[in-house]
Amino acid sequence: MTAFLQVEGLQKYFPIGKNFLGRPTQVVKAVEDVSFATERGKTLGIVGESGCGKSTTARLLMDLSPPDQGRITIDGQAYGKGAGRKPITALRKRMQMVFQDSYASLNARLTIEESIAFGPKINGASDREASTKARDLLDRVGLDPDNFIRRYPHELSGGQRQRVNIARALAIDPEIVILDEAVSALDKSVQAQVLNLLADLKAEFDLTYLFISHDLNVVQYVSDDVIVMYLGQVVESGPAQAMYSTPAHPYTAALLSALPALHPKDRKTRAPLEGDPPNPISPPSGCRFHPRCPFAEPMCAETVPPLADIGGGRHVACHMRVPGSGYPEVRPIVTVAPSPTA
Amino acid sequence: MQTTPKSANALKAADGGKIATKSRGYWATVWLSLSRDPISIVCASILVLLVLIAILAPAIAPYSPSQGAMVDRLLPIGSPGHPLGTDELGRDMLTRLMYGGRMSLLMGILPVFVAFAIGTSLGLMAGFFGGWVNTLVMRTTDVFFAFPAVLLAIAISGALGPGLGNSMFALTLVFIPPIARVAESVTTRVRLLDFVDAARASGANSLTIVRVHVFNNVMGVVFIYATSLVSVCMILAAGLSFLGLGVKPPTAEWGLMLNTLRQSIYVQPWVSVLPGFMIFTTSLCFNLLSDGLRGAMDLKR
Amino acid sequence: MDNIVEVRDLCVTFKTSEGSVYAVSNVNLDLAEGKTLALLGESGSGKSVTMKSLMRLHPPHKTQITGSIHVAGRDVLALGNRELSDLRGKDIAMVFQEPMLAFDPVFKVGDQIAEVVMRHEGCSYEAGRDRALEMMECVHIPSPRKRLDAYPHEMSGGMRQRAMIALALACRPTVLLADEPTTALDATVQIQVLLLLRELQREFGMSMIFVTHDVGVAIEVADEIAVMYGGRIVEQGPVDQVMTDPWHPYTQGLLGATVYPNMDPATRLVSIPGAPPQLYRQITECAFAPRCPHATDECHQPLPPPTQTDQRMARCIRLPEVAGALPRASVLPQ
Repeated sequence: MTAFLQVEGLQKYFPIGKNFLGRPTQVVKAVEDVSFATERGKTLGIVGESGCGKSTTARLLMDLSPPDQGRITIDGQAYGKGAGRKPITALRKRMQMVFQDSYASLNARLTIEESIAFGPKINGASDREASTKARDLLDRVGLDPDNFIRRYPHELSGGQRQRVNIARALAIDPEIVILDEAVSALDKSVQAQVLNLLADLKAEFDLTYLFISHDLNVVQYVSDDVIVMYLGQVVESGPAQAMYSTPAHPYTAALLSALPALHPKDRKTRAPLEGDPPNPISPPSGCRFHPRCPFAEPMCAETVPPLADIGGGRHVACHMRVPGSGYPEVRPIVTVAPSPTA
Repeated sequence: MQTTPKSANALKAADGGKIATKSRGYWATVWLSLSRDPISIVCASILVLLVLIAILAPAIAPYSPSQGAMVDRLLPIGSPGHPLGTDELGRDMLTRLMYGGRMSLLMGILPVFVAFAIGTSLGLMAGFFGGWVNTLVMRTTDVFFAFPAVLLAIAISGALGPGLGNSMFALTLVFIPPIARVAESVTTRVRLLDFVDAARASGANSLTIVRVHVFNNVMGVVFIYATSLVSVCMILAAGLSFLGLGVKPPTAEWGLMLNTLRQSIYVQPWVSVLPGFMIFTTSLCFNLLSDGLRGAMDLKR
Repeated sequence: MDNIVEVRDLCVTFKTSEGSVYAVSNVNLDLAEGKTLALLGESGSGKSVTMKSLMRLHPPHKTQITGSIHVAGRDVLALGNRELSDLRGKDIAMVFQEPMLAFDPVFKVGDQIAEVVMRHEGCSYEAGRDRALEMMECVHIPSPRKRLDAYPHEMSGGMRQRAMIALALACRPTVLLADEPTTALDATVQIQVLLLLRELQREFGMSMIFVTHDVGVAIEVADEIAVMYGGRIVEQGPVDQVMTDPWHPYTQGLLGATVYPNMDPATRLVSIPGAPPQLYRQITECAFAPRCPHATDECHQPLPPPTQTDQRMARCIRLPEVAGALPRASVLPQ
């Protein structure tokens, strides 16, 4: 049985620098062999640090930059270029996206109404229908239509603008909404409002979310399943609660233990990882995490670990976790003992 | 189809601070902001006055612009019957300045306007489609940039021969490349903003995106730039006339008048600089107005 | 005097074309030697403005500062320009969110650090370079001797942040101001920088004022915490007390709105309705009252002096009733 949304082998290399023949001299391997699936009505979280390819993945799904390779299916229907696939325009009616920068993602010269009604109009709705739709959606995202519909983006606060962006994404009745760091730029008190709103809308419109964020706590709170990306690759995927309680990949474990403490007595005493994430232009060989991995062995530098099934719907790309690799099933991973306040 | 609980929700989320602000349209906001800037208002008033005088010149001018009296040559400013004096052929300066404004303003504004239309379209195309379209358009404009604007205008109108039409054509050609370049750079910047992606994601085609989302964001910036070019264009036009490449005597035009009065500079210096003063005032007003416009159109977040 | 920083009744007003912005009102701060104070607040709460006032970094002709600021026994608001530049960098230094702003892109990192040392201590270039090397070692930059000759753009984000800390600490300041220094960093790098700052503070015996919007970051570094809202400090006290038993409704709301690990997805976040106030008028009443679930009519009257105990302060007239009224039984997992 295939999942509702299935992504297989998504890949994108960005050429940088050109020689005199116009051939790229280097490539950034932004996204490499990314596959995931999610069921209708679920939220799939994608976490990772900057440069891990999570936002590029979102743009590839929407075909905002065309993928080099990959297959996207919704309900078994494939989209994109190629035989037996529906065009990308059909995909865009089923999948929409909310961006991080609430100001840049609204046209400053258009009123709120015009921005929201734009989608329905180009998809064949009459002016009147589109306008009604805009008013209705504004109401549903918690903004009084009479008060807001004639306003311009600069007259709104960040939280209000992001509500408008959500309304705009919902305007052409998508089934899947990609939220690319959609709440990351908001203040905490406003972020909570928007997260609550997203939960309500999901139930009301039977939506499926792809929730992309660098904030592990928020991802855990909203997601059913989570995938962790590192330098363009998926290193771990699986149900959120299981992954957060027993992270299988050393990188996931490091990310979790890098979270700031919630009580002064739990303050960290040492950082789980040294150094910065490497440059995606020349990623390390083998397992891309091996230069920073506290458990790396010689083979990690040579062989790329496959994304292996470790049961319970979980997958992990780590040699130590491949069944039959000879490594103990559960190996102690980075833990930072709570210490008395220094 | 609004249900009560949802409306209550709407009220809750609407914040207190900004609710009192009445919403205005974009241009209304720009206008309001501009009207609070005294310099812009003064400049705009002067320009409106000059345009009105130029249009109404045949009705309000005291004399004929081409008829002079040899006995009244080079009268000083303030002479009875000739408040601004007379030129070297005894023609009334006030009349000639009024008529000269028609030509000068026309030659200052029309080429920029045409260049604005053509240059913006080229820049939009180059910026939005990128790739080889961009290379073709921008490299062609680079060729024009290799020559100083004055030289280029002289060369083109020199090749085409003197005359009003030819010199305007030359000026238009001179101003297309800089406008196209500004339009291209703004378009490239706007194209990378998220709302263009959002529009693409909702299924819009390139033409719709350019029309609805890119055009109005690019227009404003290029428009400001173009208003600042009007002053340059007026000076260039005056220069062409001064060199005998623009309009021909006895037509009144400020640049040409400056040229013919050049020999009288020691006899009647104040009368001789009057056309230059007009050119100076008009271009300064256009420049200051363009500055004010830039300030007013820059909406804060 | 055992307080290295003393701020009394600080008000900062900006003159803009649209009128005055009352960015900071009646702020009082005390910072003991060797301690860290976190200024916690959302955007527009006045936390950065307060901190920049300590160095008088605001454009003078557009800013009106009243009250008093004493740093290391000196009256900052009374200093002349020359004394001020002696103070900046030597007694009091600052690290920013974006290290590229602190460094000049066309000079080598080592030379920029050396130059600061030469200017403040009047030493030779060689001595300055030696100090630069020493500082680069202090902030744990790998192969520091080589990095002295690197340009800022040749360093990775985390390393640039470390180099900026080296620059700020080069003259051994007594007070370090940190303006969201880890906000732009990735999670695994953020914790490294936080730990580094804590370590250096202990080593140098500095006092630190740390501006952040992130509750977790504040907990990691701070001894004392001051929560700002609408240009005022609404609550202040030792970090463990404020974070486990917040008194002010805003602090309670902020903690309730923060997503913490292992939260049940079924529970709704306790959000604060509305948005922060505009500061175009002097707000004399409680700025939080329009969003406060506990607000009554008297909350819209001018604020009386704050409730003060030995260690803690909160600016809420309904404090006795409100202090225990937490949105959840326990804000933080114990």
